[in-house]
Amino acid sequence: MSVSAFADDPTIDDKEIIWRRIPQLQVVYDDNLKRKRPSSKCFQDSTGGHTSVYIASEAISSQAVMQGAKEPFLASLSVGFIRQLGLVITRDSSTGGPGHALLIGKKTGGIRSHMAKTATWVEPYAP
Amino acid sequence: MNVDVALPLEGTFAIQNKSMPEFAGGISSLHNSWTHTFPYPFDTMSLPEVRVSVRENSVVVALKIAPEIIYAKWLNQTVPELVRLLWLPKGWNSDNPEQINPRAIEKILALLLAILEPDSPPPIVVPTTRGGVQVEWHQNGIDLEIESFNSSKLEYYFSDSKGEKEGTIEDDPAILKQFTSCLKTTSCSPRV
Repeated sequence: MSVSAFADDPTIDDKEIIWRRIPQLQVVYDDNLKRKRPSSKCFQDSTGGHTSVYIASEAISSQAVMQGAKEPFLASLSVGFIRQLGLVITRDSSTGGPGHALLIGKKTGGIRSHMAKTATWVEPYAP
Repeated sequence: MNVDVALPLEGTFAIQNKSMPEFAGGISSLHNSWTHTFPYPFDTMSLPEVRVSVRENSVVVALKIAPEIIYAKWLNQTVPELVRLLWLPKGWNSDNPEQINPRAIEKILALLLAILEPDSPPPIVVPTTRGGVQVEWHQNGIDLEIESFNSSKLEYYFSDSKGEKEGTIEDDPAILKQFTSCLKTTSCSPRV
């Protein structure tokens, strides 16, 4: 899925926070940062060609996002940061419920690594 | 294959024969136990060689490796971590990922045997949504990630205080040796 196939949604403010669910098997200990963080593989596109996230202010709650999920952890990034990386964000509430959105664009190893190292954990869903 | 999402497999891997200059040995796993299959029949004697065989209720990893690598911490830690990923079912997270491809395990293990030294630090092992595996190190001021997602392609990402570099290993196979040497010393100068 190319960036041109989806336009960035300008109504989503740069200050908005997005949440990404993180599987236990993709949490790593970063000795450089002296903390656990998501692996860069957490920000790999799904087979659908996008990365599924939730806009925090539009989701019902973090509990609702995590209910029934296979992933036990939740990490956050700002929309402004992901735009700085050249990615676009578009709402997709039809498939993932309230607040669901997609991150679209080429996610190189470097981009994924920057996302993984910048992400912060959302309590109480931290490892 | 018997699938268990909880990944209960734990075990150690050791091969005792020190006398042979080169040898073939293997391990097999059956849920919570590991057994050693030794010697393992190989058709050729080129080093290193890796074979991962998935059977109905077990996985056999056959390694043909040099004696100096047998007791390497990274090998004894990494092989079981890689093998246990084969028990992950399709759709193990919300992105509906593929089951881990045994050929991806073979490919990454063969690469590690080629580029790591006996005293290299063990990598972190991470499954990927496209049925592959990523090994990664985040230490000594360095980030190094190598992904194997099918039998023919390996991708890497490296960064340190001087910059970052990424690509496919097929394009520059020698560069990973420089990167992995940097995991042990702060005085290296890779071509970033």
